[in-house]
Amino acid sequence: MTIDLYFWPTPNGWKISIALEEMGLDYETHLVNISKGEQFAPEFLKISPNNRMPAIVDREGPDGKPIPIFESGAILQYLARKTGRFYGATERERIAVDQWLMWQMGGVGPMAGQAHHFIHYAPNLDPPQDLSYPRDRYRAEVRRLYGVLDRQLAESAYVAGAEYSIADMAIWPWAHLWKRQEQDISDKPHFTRWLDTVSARPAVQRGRALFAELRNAPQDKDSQAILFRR
Amino acid sequence: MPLIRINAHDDVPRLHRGHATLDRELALRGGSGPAVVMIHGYSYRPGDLRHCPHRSLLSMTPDDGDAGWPRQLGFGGGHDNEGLAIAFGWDARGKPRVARLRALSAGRALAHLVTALKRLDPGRPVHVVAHSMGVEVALEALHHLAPGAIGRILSLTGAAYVSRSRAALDTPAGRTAEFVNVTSRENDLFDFLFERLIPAPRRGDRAIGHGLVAANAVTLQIDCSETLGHLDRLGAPVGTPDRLICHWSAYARPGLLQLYNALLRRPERWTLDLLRAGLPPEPASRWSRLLPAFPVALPLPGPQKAA
Repeated sequence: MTIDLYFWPTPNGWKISIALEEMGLDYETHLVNISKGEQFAPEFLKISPNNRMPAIVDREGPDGKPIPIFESGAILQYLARKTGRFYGATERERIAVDQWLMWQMGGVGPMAGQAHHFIHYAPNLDPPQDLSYPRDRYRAEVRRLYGVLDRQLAESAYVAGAEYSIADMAIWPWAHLWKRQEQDISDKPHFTRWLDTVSARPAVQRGRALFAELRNAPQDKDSQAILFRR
Repeated sequence: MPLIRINAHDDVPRLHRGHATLDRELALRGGSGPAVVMIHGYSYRPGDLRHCPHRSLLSMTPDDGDAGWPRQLGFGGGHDNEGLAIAFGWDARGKPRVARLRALSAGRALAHLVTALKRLDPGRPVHVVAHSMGVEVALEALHHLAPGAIGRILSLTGAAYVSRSRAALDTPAGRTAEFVNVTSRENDLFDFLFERLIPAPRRGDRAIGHGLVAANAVTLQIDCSETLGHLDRLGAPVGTPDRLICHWSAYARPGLLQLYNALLRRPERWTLDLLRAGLPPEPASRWSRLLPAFPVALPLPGPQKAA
């Protein structure tokens, strides 16, 4: 049964497009143009009350009825439970996956997101907000987090252990943009090795390529105001 | 004294005693010959009265009166060309999994140290001798070093996984290094515990006590009569094993540190190909040393339980 994917090509969106590809699930993509404020449409609000994509509607939910799900981490956990894949084989392994998934949700995602904002978006606002303190803070915090990740990956092939999991699917979309976050990963060999390994997965490449052409669409003042609610 | 005592403080190398900077201390040690970094395994902690490696294994004059590694590796004779011995300590006490995490940090510290040694004297070979979990320190360092930084790594019954060892030997620094994997079936119990206590990086991974196949590695199983005979013919007689279970035989057995000395100081004579030439094609299987002593019929796994 088809899953409706509410999506725009951003790191959070890729988490779910990659997961759907990895799990071989049938899905139909509904673009949510965040530059045009489509995430604020009332019908989308019913699916995602936080006005953020990605979101999904599984037409065949747990009781056979449709279920809407928002928040990328919750979607990943749901899809992994639904398919019984990429979520560890034992309770200990699931705890490891959950830990690193939450680490992404509470750490890498917010910090890298703010780094992107203050490095790339804020200086191009009208008037420009070229702010060194937040730029340096978020860049440094991302560096710290990637150091944590490198040390973890020195121990295991994948983030949560010996097997590829939804934690990897959550982290890779942000981590592979390390240049955009002005990071130096030459001192993080395990992180580099993991990036190469995950990047080579065909499902990751397909999920990353979903509507990729829309990612570089030029933004105008209106879209900035919508995106950043100014 | 040709011995410097250095400890890993997280991922930073610092002198065991004194306030001199590491670079300054290293710069004062002239002479020729290789730098040999000696790394202890699990259960040591620098500065700990009872467990300090600088008072025992890695000392020129161990408290217990034993010979210690440095002297047996050719240091302390007063020769200009004996090289530089580096006793490298790291906190290896506590739960094995925590100690193993510290080994990874210590590996970064080792990489800083080796980089400093190469900066001061690019032509001086740097070798590593490591026991048990100390091998993890050396493997991690390879990920952070330039090609040619380390010449040989002698892994003495190393507590490390095959996949991790192969990955480290496939880094720029790893591909130019040579890895001598000293194993013994005397160490089977410890390999078994390692595999139980330290999660494997990959499913199905095994400890390198099972053997390690890589272009720049050789496995010497030192309780194998064929291996010992080969070493004897090459001019490195090693005592025969007299224990069923032992974690320390890879340095405690007579003749082994002399062999390591030769491997480090005359690598052009003791090539990996020379070592390989007389070895059995496969290492003996795990528990093969114990089972003949206890001829008990162990139950076969269910699917194999036939007629």
